[in-house]
Amino acid sequence: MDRNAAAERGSVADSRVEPADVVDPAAADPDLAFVVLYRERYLPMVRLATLLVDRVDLAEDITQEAFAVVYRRWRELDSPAGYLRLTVVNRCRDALRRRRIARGHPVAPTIAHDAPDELADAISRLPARQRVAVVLRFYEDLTIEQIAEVMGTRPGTVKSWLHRAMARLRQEMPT
Amino acid sequence: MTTDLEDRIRISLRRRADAIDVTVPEPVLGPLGSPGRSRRVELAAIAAALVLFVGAALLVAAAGRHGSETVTGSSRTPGGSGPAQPVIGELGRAVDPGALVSMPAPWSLDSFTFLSETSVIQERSSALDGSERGVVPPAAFVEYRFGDGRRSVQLDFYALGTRQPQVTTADPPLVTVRGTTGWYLDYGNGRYRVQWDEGGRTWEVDGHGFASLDEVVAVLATIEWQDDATWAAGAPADLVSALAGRVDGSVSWSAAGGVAG
Repeated sequence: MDRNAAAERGSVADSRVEPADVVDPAAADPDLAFVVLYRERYLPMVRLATLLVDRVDLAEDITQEAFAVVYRRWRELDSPAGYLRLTVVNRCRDALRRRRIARGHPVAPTIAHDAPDELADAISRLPARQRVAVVLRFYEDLTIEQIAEVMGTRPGTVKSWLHRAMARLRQEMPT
Repeated sequence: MTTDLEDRIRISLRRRADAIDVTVPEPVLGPLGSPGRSRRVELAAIAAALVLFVGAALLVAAAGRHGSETVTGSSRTPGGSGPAQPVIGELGRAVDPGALVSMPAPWSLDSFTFLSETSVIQERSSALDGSERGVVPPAAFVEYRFGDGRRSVQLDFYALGTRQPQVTTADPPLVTVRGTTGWYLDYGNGRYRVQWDEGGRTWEVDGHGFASLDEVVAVLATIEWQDDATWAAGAPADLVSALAGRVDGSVSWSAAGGVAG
């Protein structure tokens, strides 16, 4: 399909689309369904990614890449929104891994903060897997089992990461 | 039971997330192919690519048997077929020779990161238990960050096929850059991303502080490929030493902090 035509169809459809959660990938018009998902989930995914990697520009890159992956695999996916989140989280973990390579040269966060937030900063300093688990648990409100699925590990391991993260945060953030 | 700390974490994360507001670019679907393309078609495409790759490798090998090419001069003109292999191995062979570039004054190198595909990253399981595991990155990665005091250009090199065109962009989505067609995305506020394939690899640029796309394209046209010796002569000495000493490792350098990693 011509991409301009696809974009036009997406914009025309704005007023009659359904929430992303009920998007049916087998719908007759997968391009339209994708556009719906894209418009509803772009900002939430950028926010999630930013909480994980600290940089808005990097978060946008990761989100766009994730949407590209979802688009290519659209018909294979039972839950495009879930796969999108999984892809965003995995790419954020890759970015954190890559950042570890460049340790010693931290990139200044590009998030504009109105006020310093010591707790958010402490979360940013957690080891990568603990940080991801904390964000998925307390920002995305996922269950332990859902976090384990996203992170490709066992629920018990997630519990362990969360336990350690909370212990560390309690240590750094005394009441 | 919900603890006070858990509530504080929820509030803190929500507040930080809510402070992030970005413009959602228009989606562009065409370049990625139709969703739902069958697995069989994808496999056929991969098979065709493999055949082409093997064929190209055989041609290169045949050319090599008929005499080696000598590179002279300080820079090479980028072209569709990629750079010739450098004849001077000052940097070892880990860094993709096609990823050795520079920018003319007033641009200067602010940071450089090289991640070898054979390097093993030690990923620490947690700060408390100290366990580690080795992680091998999927492909070599080179990133430059140049600056001229007002603008910045971050240039990443990827192996062809490992970096898909981005799904979103402004209108028009295509741009002619360095004699070829690429994609661009206008984030607003002087930030542009441009991506194109050149010399057998994907170039991706994230530029900040630019007045227009034309200005970005004009600046990108000044990027020069260089051979090992020329690149090494112009690069920071500690970076060159680190690259030569860690052929299969990873190196990160910044103007502010020198070599790390």
